[in-house]
Amino acid sequence: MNSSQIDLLERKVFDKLNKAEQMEFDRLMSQDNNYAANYQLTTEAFAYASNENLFKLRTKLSDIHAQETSRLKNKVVDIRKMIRYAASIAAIVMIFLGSYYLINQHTSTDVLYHQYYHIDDVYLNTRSGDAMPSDNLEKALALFENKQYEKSLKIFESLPGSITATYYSGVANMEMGDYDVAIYKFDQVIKNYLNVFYDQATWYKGLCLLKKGKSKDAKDIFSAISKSDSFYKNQAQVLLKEMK
Amino acid sequence: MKKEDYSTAEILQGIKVGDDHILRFVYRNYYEAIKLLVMEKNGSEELAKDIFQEAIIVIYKKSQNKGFEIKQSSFYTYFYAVCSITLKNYFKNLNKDLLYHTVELEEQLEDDAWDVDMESLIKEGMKENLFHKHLSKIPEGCVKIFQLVLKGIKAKEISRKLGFTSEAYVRKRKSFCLKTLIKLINDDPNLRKVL
Repeated sequence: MNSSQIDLLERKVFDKLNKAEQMEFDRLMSQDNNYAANYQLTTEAFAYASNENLFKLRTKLSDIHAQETSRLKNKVVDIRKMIRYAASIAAIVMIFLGSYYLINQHTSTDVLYHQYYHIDDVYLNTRSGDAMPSDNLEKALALFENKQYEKSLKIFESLPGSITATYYSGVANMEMGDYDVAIYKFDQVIKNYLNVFYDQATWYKGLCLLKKGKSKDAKDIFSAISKSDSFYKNQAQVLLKEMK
Repeated sequence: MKKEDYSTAEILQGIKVGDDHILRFVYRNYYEAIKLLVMEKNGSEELAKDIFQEAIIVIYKKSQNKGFEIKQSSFYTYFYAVCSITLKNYFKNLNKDLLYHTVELEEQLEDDAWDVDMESLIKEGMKENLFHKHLSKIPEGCVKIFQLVLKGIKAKEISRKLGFTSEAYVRKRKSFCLKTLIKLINDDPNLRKVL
């Protein structure tokens, strides 16, 4: 419909057509189905709008739908909020219980660690690991024996090809509380089964894991030691019993 | 004290007068069942809203006739049947394949209050529903102007009633409202389907 046709329709709806306009309107109605359909729909829409009660009822039903939908959504949100709140409380309780468990576990593994780790034992094979100990290695071992672990580490770490240096630097890290670094260094030692520090490195790795509270990993290592010909076989068996 | 339940007669009376509590009661108790009915037939949530609303409108129109009552079933059974028939008609008009049979439901209505004007009321309602949506979209006050014009009230009186500045403004506004409505109707493909 163009604007003049719309104007005509408007004037018809409000009953204001003159004779010429009425003729044009009649012509459009008989020749243009689209125009006729629009006129019919417009008059029907007007008739509907004039039924105030029906119009109000539909509006009311739409409002009720909107309000009830919103009420339900809020209810769901409230329930979700409650679930989140409950989940938060549960998480806090779990964290608390978990921490309590870990602290207790840590304490017990800590006790075992100190029971089984003695710095004097690390010298078991001292000075026999490297066929030709260098001056630097001697210097580092001297610092180590004097409990100057940080200084000894600097020299040990300058000797990456030395199994002795790697083993002692791992122990130095243990003494300084760097258990992850110590484990890494003991792993370097363990890589080669045919070295004099193999048993010690394995045992101390187990103790590092015990100290870190990784009981299961520690148990696996002690279990392997207890079944081997390791120097620490008996200690591992006793320790395993204590860990149960 | 809040009433938890209503008899069929009370519900019918409430719908007849558009009682807010009764309409809300019907909505809260039966809307979910109707939504399920519609969605099981692959209808949308928007369609469920329309079906529910139009079934209420059918009952409202029937309740305007003296002596209308639901004798042989509960309100819910009757309402559910009206919703099913309304849904069937919506699908018919939207050219959707019918995914289910409403014969049983029609029989149920026949036993009770099924009458020849049920389908014509539904079809009329579908058209009105589309008109209502468009009339709700046109600017505020337009429907009121239409209602007053259709009552034969002069522009001067409309201007006074609605607080407009002049009769000329009423005429200008009336023209604008009508043109907006015509455009909305002209652009609505669904409205053509219900003709």
